[in-house]
Amino acid sequence: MAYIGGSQEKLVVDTTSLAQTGQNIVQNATDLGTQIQHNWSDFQKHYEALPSFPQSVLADYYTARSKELANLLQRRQQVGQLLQTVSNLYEFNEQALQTMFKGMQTGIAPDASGLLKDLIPGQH
Amino acid sequence: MGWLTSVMQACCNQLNDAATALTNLQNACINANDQYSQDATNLVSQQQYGGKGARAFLAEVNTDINANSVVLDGIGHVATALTNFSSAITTRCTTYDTQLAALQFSWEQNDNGYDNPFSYDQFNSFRDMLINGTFENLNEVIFPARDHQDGLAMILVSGSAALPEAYANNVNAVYQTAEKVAATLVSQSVQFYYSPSDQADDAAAVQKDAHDLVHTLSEQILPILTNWADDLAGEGITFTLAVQNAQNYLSARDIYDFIYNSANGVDQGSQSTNKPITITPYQTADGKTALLITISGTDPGHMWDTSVLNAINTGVNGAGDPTDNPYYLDVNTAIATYMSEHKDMEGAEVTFAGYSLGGMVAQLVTNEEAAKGSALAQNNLTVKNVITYGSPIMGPKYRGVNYTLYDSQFDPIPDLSSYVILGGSKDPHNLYASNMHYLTDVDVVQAPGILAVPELSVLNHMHYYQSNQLNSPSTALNINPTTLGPTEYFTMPHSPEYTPSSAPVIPLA
Repeated sequence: MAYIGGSQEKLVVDTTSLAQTGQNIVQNATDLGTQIQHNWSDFQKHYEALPSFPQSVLADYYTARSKELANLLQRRQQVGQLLQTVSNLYEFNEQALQTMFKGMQTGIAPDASGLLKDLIPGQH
Repeated sequence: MGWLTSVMQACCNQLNDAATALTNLQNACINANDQYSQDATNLVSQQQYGGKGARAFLAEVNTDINANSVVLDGIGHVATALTNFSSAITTRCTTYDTQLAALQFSWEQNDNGYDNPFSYDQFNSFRDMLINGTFENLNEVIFPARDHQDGLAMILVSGSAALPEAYANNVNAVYQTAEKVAATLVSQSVQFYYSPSDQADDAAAVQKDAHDLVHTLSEQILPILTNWADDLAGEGITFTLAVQNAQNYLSARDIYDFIYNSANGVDQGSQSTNKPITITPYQTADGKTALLITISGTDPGHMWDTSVLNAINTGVNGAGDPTDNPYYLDVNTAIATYMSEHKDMEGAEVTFAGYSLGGMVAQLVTNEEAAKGSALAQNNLTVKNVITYGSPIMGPKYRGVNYTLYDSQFDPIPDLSSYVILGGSKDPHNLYASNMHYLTDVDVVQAPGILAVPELSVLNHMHYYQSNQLNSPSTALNINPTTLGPTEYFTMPHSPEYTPSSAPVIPLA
């Protein structure tokens, strides 16, 4: 439970779902990472058996896509961790969230510690 | 299995297996995306989190998902490129194998006036040696083998360039074999029946026959192998370009995935949900602001807007007053609602993509673009593209709209509108000839019992997600795939089934 609101009032809110959602997202990302690893391994096996021509076309494919997928996973883990860490609705306040997640639009994975710093002053 | 098909089979299998691995990878990510979006939606749909911040959170999650779709769609495009490459190789091999097989018949008919001393089996054996030996020579002599694949790799890159040398080396070997066969025949005192009679029945003549046979055969085989190799190299270029271009476009199948995606056998997308309409902002390749509006198809699980009954009603009364159609009104309301929240999108271009009933309604909404009460007109939105999957044509084209109509093989639904039925064909007035595309690479299902023809099975309406033809670069529209914003989902407020609990997840002002 957490207390939220301005200086005039306090509102009790159940934040279980917030933490649970964060946990789900982290777990989902972890599971996806395992699945991706398995699928890449499968792909590599067949890739290595190909004649050299199709191989050469796909030569950098694994490397490039792996980085992008790792970035996807990292970003998702950070979002999940953020939701887990945020423990009251003040921290989930509208302005902070709008500012925080706007950073994701840049296409650069947000720094979780930076986001937390913005969101939870004094918590670092 | 033919000679060429056999030579390329291992390569094709590996291409297909690599494609399957990538498809599985893409599907795993799509499933995870769905779960990610669902988790965020569930959280934000709770009353205490329904403010602007929470909505921003959901929007950013959905933006993140769509931004990553460039990568995931790109993986799907490469999987399709691998599959298409494999199919193209197989098709080319089959074509030229048929020509090689036909040589047998040609030779028999091409008798020079005397009986050939060689048997059918010997002829076949020489042909086998001429073809198979060439590849062995290519792999083992010209390109020393790495699992017998490097010679094939050179064909895929350079076409027939290396073939003449390999072929010539091999033909000499086959000549020697044929002469030995001839000598054996003579030693066995096989009786030959030469005509004209001036042909001496002796070893020299038989050996000359052997030489002539191999020579004639080799002259016929080489051009076939050359054409085959050059065609494969052309397919190799197509494959290369497809892989290089994989992340530069949004295919018709990528757009269809918004509606229906059967990743790992689990339906994703808006089809058969309470929120069958989606709106996603994007930018065109030349930087214009635009909206992608997808409209799902008939859902037997609903009794009103997306029901089978309304699908029939839409097909029959399509040309009538569309405001009688609840699904039409739902789409109009969805656009109006979205625009009330996104004033910056006023004046945008619109791409409609609809499946089945959704495609029919997309056409109706487009036709009413300028009508009073149209959300398109009120927000100065201009329809540029209408894409349909398994939808009948509803009437003549609307001005300035680019139509792309995909019909799956044996799908009966595109035959079901009054415009089509009364006109007697899918395109009664030949207005859409260049806009209609038939998909032939999906599963075909026969109707059961005495109706056992595929044209009568509605299951053939449900396999669009399988089509690699839908996923090729040629199906791309003028959409910059890196610019997709968050997808918003809209329900059916004109349905008696509508309740607050089935209201849009994002609380709209």
